[in-house]
Amino acid sequence: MTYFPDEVVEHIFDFLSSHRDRNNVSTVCKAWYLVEQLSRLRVFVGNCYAVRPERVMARFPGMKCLTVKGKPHFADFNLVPHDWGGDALPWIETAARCCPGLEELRLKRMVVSDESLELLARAFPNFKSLVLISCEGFSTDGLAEIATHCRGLRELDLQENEVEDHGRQWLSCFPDSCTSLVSLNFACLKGEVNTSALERLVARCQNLRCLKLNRAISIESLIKILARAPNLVELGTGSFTADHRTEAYQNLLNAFYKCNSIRNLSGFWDAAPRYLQAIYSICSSLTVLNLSYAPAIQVNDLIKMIRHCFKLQKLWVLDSIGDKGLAAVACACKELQELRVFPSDVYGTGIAAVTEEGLVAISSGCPKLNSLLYFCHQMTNAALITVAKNCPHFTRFRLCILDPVKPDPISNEPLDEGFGAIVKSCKDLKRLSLSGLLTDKVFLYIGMYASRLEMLSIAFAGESDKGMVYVLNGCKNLKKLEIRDSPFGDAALLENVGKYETMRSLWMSSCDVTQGGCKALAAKMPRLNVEVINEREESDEMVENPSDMHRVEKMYVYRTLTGPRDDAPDFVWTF
Amino acid sequence: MEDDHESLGDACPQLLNLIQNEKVGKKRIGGLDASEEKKLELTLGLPGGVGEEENPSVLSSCIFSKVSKTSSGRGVLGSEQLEAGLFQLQSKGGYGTEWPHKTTWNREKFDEQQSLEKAHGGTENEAGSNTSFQTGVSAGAPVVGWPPIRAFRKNLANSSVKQSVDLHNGNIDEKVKVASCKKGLLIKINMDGIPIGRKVDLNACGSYKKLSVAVESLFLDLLEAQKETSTNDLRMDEEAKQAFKSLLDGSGEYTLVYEDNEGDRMLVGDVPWDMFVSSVKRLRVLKSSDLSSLHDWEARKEQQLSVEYGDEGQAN
Repeated sequence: MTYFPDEVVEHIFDFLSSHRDRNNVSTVCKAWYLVEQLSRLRVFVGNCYAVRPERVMARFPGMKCLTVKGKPHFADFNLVPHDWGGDALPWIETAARCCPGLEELRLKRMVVSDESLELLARAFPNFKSLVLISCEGFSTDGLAEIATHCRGLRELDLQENEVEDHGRQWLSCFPDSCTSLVSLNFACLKGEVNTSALERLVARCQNLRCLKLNRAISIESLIKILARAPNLVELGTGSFTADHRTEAYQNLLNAFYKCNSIRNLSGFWDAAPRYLQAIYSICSSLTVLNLSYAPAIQVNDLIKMIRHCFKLQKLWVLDSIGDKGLAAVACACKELQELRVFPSDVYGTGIAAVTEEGLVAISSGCPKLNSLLYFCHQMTNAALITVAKNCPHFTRFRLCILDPVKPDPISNEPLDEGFGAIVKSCKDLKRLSLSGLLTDKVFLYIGMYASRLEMLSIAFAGESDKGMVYVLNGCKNLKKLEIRDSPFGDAALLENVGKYETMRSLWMSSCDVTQGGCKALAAKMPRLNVEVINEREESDEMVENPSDMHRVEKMYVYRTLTGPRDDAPDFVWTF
Repeated sequence: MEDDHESLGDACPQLLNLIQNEKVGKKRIGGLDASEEKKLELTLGLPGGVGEEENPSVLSSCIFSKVSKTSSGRGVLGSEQLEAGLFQLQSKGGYGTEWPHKTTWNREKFDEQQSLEKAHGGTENEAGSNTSFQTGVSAGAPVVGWPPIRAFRKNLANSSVKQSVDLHNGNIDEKVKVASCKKGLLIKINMDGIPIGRKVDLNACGSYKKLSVAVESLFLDLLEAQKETSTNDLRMDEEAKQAFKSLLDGSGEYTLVYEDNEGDRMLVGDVPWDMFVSSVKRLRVLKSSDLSSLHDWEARKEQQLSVEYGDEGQAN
């Protein structure tokens, strides 16, 4: 290989699409490193604090697409204080200086200000695609900047962001000359938009294939939009309820009849059963269906609809679907690969909506199932063992039993055996989340069998340090470990310190790690940032100068080339 | 299965290391022999079937402090762990897992929450020092960040409530209060003849009677403004107040109706208050005289929507 000219090597590298492969070839020899770095177009930075933007862009001057992730995953559940960090501005500023040819930017769990968006909009003449997932810090003013200045924008995809509503005019900022949009997703916006501007935009963007409306869009608007965009492949429907009792239903039915290309449906926030019937005509071609924002849909209507969806590959629902509904899914959706069942009645004391029965039914009816997120009220070892047998192809298995330490209700035992069966059977398992009553034994199983596991989430589990050590010593591909409310302490933390350099990050909160333990880790491993988050409790006076015996409430450890970060707020201490 | 054995061999020295040595940080002691490997071979059944010196009661009893012993005859875990010195192991007395007071999630809070919840049919999982927090805790758990779902999903069940978790408020909002999270249930309410709608806080009302009073206070002024000019202020007051009498029993000038979570219009007052609160989506104050014509309109709508009849031409 080393006798080939660079162009040939580069051409061969073109076939390597995964970041890992490209990372690996770049370590073979200096020549390959150089070829690879100049030809890499898509750059992925899993932790924005692991490396400085300047260094990334110096190494990959040809970068066209950049993905950066910020806050730890548990930030999604309010465990990370608001101003912890993850600012996108340094990345955008540096890219503006060093890689003005940037075309795509994907940010996840980062703080994006309107100022950043404004810079982004003006600094990159070829900018085509902006994807923001679980970000915050911006408003519709920033979106207006993007709309105004990004000529040739193809994609604006906003997923589950916190966006401040400063008015509806941002959508009108897309100039009349903008006809390039292929994908527009503003489902997470809370405020109203200018619907006539939207309709005009949709009409002139003939290549639009993905459109996800927010809840403020009524059915009347939806009907007009569908009339202008019959070639949509992905649709987020908006509220799916009409303001007035008009001819809406009939028009809706007609509109959907014409949309033969729709394969992906979501939205349905306030869907009433009668309107749901309007989509029966397209159900049979759907591959993705997301009903998880629609608590109004009753299980019988859901079942009627699901029966038509025999091509479905991905289904997101609320647990109001019940075991009965899941059984219907198992009968109808033989192609199902991903299922997510979210809790609908988090604060209520309703009847258990889904149990282990629903999951077992799905596993036996849907052999292609490989990705699961399942919130339920109870689970048994027997069920998990059955599921493991039926579905050996799981790559993602996330089970959340709403009662944090609930054992198997039938046998009264912990769920060690059940999860053990999963990891033993599913050799390709990459992501696992545990719940229910669990001892150290489950971690022994995980350490022994889950050799491809990359991400593990632990809550209220285990009995002693051994649990955590089994995992650290066993899972050789582990990249992210996040633990909360589990009895793992300094001994576990310090048992295998070298492991953390092979991982992206470790999060531990409400465990038994002390300040002394954190300091010891930091002292041993200079290439890790050991961050401790010290939130001031109202009643806590000793926070000012805690001793080394003081238990640390939240700790985030990650490998980094940059040393302690310079934008850490005062409640984050880096040891 | 060869793979498993191989990985057993690789992983086990360190794992075995743990099982063998209570002291942390000791180096590996070498490879395994066949009998040791066999003993570590895990089967997925109840521990009794493995048949080693392993304590058969590991999982079926309440004591979790023991772990499978190897032929080297390791000691029992548990109190030995304290030698690690940097933390204290809480003794695990049972399935209830006695969490140390140090964790933010503690039993007192759960027990408190228990008394606030409706009867959830406590499970029969009484084992050892089993606790009350296994029952019905999924409801309104006061634990921060549990269940692990995004904030916007927590409020979906009640679509009228604006997202209550404000991520911009920093630390304070991250401490979830123990009190019921249905605080401040704001529902839209419109009244016939009045173009501007209001919002009413159902949780502040607490009963139908109070709701009726609240409705009156919300719309009284607006209604007066709408009425034809009357020089006699007092009489205007009286008339307006009269409008709100008997909102709930259908005999007054106006009747209170609501739209439930299935999209149907229902008369307010039929179901228990709590059930009403959990299913109501919006409220409307209708002129009672409109009720009958509303019924006709509804009937026509039902026909129109009936798929069987395949109605296309039915005018409204």
